[in-house]
Amino acid sequence: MSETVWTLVRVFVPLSLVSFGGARTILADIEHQAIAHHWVTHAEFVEIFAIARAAPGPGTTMVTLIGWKAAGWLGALAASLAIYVPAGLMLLFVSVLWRRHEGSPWRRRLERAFAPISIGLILAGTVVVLNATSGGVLAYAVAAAAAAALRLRQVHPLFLLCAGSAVFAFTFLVM
Amino acid sequence: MTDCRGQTDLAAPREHPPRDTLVDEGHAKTDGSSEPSPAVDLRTIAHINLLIGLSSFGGGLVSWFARELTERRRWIANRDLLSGFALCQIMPGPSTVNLTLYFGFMLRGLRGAAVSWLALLVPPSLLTLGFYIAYTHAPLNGVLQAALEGVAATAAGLNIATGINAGWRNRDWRTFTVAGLVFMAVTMFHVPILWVVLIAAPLSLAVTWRDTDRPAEETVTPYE
Repeated sequence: MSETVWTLVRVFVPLSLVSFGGARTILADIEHQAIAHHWVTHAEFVEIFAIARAAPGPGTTMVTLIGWKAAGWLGALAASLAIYVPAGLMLLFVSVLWRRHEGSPWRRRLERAFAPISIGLILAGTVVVLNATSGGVLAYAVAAAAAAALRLRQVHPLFLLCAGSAVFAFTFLVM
Repeated sequence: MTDCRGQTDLAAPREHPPRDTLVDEGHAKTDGSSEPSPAVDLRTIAHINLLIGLSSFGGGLVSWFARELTERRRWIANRDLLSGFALCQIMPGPSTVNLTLYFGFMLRGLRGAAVSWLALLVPPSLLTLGFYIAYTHAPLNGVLQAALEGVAATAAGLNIATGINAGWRNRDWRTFTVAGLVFMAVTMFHVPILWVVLIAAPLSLAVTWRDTDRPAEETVTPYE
C-alpha cells in the first residue's frame, strides 16, 4: 500500500510541472501511467475522466479519483498533493518575477512559444480519451459535434455534457 | 479567457475599459507592485473561493474570477487581472487553481494564497470523490455507464474546441508545425509528456522568437 502511495507521488509530481493548462495537457500520460500501474482499467479511466469533468472543481480532480482507486484515502491525498503542490509553488515563485517584468519581450516570447505545445498536447489527450471509450465512431462524432457547437454557437458546456450523455444512453438502449 | 458559454475573447475589458487607476480606496493595491493588501479579510477570500469552486459545473470558472474580483468587489484592476490570466495560462497547473493562488497571493500574501487554494480545491475534490464512490457502489447499470462515456466524449470535444481556439489565434506554420509534432510524439510515438515539453519548448521558442510583433494572447482557454 505505502509503495503504491510512493509510486503515485513519483508519477504525478513530474506531470504536475508540465501540466500546462491543467490535466487536459497531461491526459495521455495520466492514462498510460494509470493503466500501466494497474490503478484503473480503460473503462474506469473513462468513467473517472467523465465524473471529474461533470462534477464541480477543475478536471484535475480526476487525479484525486485515480489516487483513491489505487490506494484509498491516503492515495487520494497523496495524488492530489503531488499534482497540485509542485505547480502551485512554481506559480507563486514565477508570479513575483512576472509582475516585476511587465511588458518585457521575454514574457511575450514565452507566451507565444508555449501556445502551440499546449495545443498539441490537448489534442493528443482528446484522442487518448476517445480511444479509451467503447463508443468508437459515435465517440468521435459526439466530440466533433460538441466542439463545433461550442465554437460556432457558444452553447453552454454543461448543456453539451448533458446532451452527449443522453446520446450515448439512447444509443445504448436502442442497440 | 472565456465566459461561461465558452466565448473565447477578451470581452470583459471591452465592455468595461481597463481601470489603470486605484480601485476601491483602501483596498487592493493595483499599481503593479506585488505587495499584498491587508484590507481584504481572509474569511472573505475563503468564502469567494468556496463559491467559485463549488459552482464550476461544466466549466466557466474564470468568468467568476473576473466578475467577483474586478466588477463586483473591485479589489483588482482589470489590467492586473489580464496580466494574471496570461501568466496562469502558460504556467503548469489548472489555470483556475493558478488564478486563485495568484490573486490570493496578491491580496494577502502567502496566507491569502493558501486560504484561497484550500477553499477552492478541497470541497469540490471531496464532492467529486463522493460522487465517484457512490458510482462505484451503485449496481452497475449499462445505461449509466453509457451516459458517462457520453460525458467523456463530449468533454473531449470541449477540449478540442479549446485547442482549436488557441490555435486559431496564432494560426501560422509555426503553430501548426510545433503543435503537429507534439501531437504525433504523444499519440503515435508515446513519448512521455515531460520529454515532449523539454524538447519542444526550446524548439518552439526558436521558431517563434521573431514572431512577437503581434500581441501574444493567452494559450489555453480554461473550461476547468
